[in-house]
Amino acid sequence: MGFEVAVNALSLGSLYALIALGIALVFGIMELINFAYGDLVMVGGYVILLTHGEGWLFVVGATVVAVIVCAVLMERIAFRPVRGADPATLLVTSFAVSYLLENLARIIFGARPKTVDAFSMLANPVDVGPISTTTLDLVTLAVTAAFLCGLALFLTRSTAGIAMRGAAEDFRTARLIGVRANRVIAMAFAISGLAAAIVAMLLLAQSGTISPTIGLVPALVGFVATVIGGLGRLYGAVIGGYVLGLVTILLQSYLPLSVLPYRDALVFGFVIVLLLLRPQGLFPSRALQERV
Amino acid sequence: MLAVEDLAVSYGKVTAVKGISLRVGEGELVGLIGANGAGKSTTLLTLSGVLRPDRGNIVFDGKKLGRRTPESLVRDGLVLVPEGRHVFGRLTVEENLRLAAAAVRSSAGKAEDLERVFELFPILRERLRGYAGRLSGGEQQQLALARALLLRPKLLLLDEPSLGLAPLLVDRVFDTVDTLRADGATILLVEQNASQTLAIADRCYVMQAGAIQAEGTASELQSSDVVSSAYLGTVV
Ligand SMILES: Nc1ncnc2c1ncn2[C@@H]1O[C@H](COP(=O)(O)OP(=O)(O)OP(=O)(O)O)[C@@H](O)[C@H]1O
Ligand SMILES: [Mg+2]
Repeated sequence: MGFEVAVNALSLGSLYALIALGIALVFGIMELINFAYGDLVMVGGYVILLTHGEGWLFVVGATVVAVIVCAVLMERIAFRPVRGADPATLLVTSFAVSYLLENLARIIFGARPKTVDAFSMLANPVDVGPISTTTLDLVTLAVTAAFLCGLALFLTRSTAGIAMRGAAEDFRTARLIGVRANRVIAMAFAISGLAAAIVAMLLLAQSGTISPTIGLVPALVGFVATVIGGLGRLYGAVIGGYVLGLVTILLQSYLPLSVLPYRDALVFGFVIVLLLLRPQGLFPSRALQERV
Repeated sequence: MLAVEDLAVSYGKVTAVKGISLRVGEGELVGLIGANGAGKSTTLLTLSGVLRPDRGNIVFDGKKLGRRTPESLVRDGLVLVPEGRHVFGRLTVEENLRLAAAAVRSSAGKAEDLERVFELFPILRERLRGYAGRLSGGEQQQLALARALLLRPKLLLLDEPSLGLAPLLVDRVFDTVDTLRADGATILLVEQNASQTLAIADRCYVMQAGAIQAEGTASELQSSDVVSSAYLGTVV
């Protein structure tokens, strides 16, 4: 039983970490909490719905490309005009974008959830030694690990990645040594889009349904995990995601049945207590502390 | 190299720079001195494209500058070392230098650029793998200067490079600026430290409350009392 709980926690934590990274990457660079990030996940879901008759490789490729394009366009059209505005304006803009996309989906696809069995082969149970789990859990772990390693390599080895870290620390100074603002911001949105595409695929593999509001929970979870980790630190967001996944699964597994419906309330209760104890999150960013 | 005419800049309703004019010729080291809040940093930030002027003309390297971004101006050789150094503390020294070098298009001569920077600032070579945030204030100033030099500046704008450094290190900063000038660099040096700036600069502008009060060589300025009055009684 303990092993299964651990695998479940790791798997859910991985999903949450991916979601949180998508939010933290953009926040780090332009102090925007992109609530419309959840709608990128939603877009990915509908791309899967539209393409799921094709081979899975095609579905994966189409989803990744479409969501990245959508993320970059979102920045170009909605966020570039308000770049540098105060965080409240940025947040409101992201709400507006989210509202727009959600309703667009409602008009095109209808409000009711639709079933998609794009990745049903992942639901198979597998045994790894003494642990019985599903292919999906293992894929989730592997994909997240690959994404994290790839991102770490990108951020430490490539000039573009170093520029992103520099811009996240001090945007103005980055520009003063020649880092192109438009390019790093577009890059952050593109990587955020890649994360959203992966999240969309993992979510749909798990639930098998897509609706216009599917992005709501990811946006909330991503936001909460990022805040737990301390806004502005990427590894903080990752750890925040895993903490949130762990707490959720622990409550899920060990709560008495009568209290189980209140699981999410308890999770957020835990988050509130954590933030009361550490208002800056687990790993506060220096830039934010200075601003406070 | 640089000609500024009637430049005015404000923050909201507060006008910080009130129509100043100044020139920096090729190979010149020009000082811009003045007390706290005179508008020196505002001037440099406007020249480098961070702030937008209310009015005025800026001609750099024969071209009139309109609404240009900082990153494009840097690529044309207008390089600012901002007040307070602003090295990337969470990046290593090497990464700080690499970012600057990446902005230079032609790869020819980059190795030589780096060698020259290490000759000027040997400590950076020793600290290459360490985080820039761990450097002392003086070392961070050297890193900020090194980064700027790797950008191959045609005009170097330095904003109070001696700020917050111990006296011995202040002397080193001025020595370095003097060395750069001797190597043919064109520099606009902003300082509160009037006496040391006057000592090495070809010419100086004295700024007070957003306006240029006087201009001249060290001896011209020292014989008048405009410098000390611009500092409201501070000893020069
Ligand atoms: N971000 C800002 N918002 C509003 N006012 C500002 C801002 N920055 C500077 N000022 C004001 O503009 C005026 C000029 O400031 P500036 O920083 O250019 O002076 P300075 O000559 O560089 O001074 P110092 O020697 O202290 O660096 C000051 O009165 C200052 O209060
Ligand atoms: Mg200043």
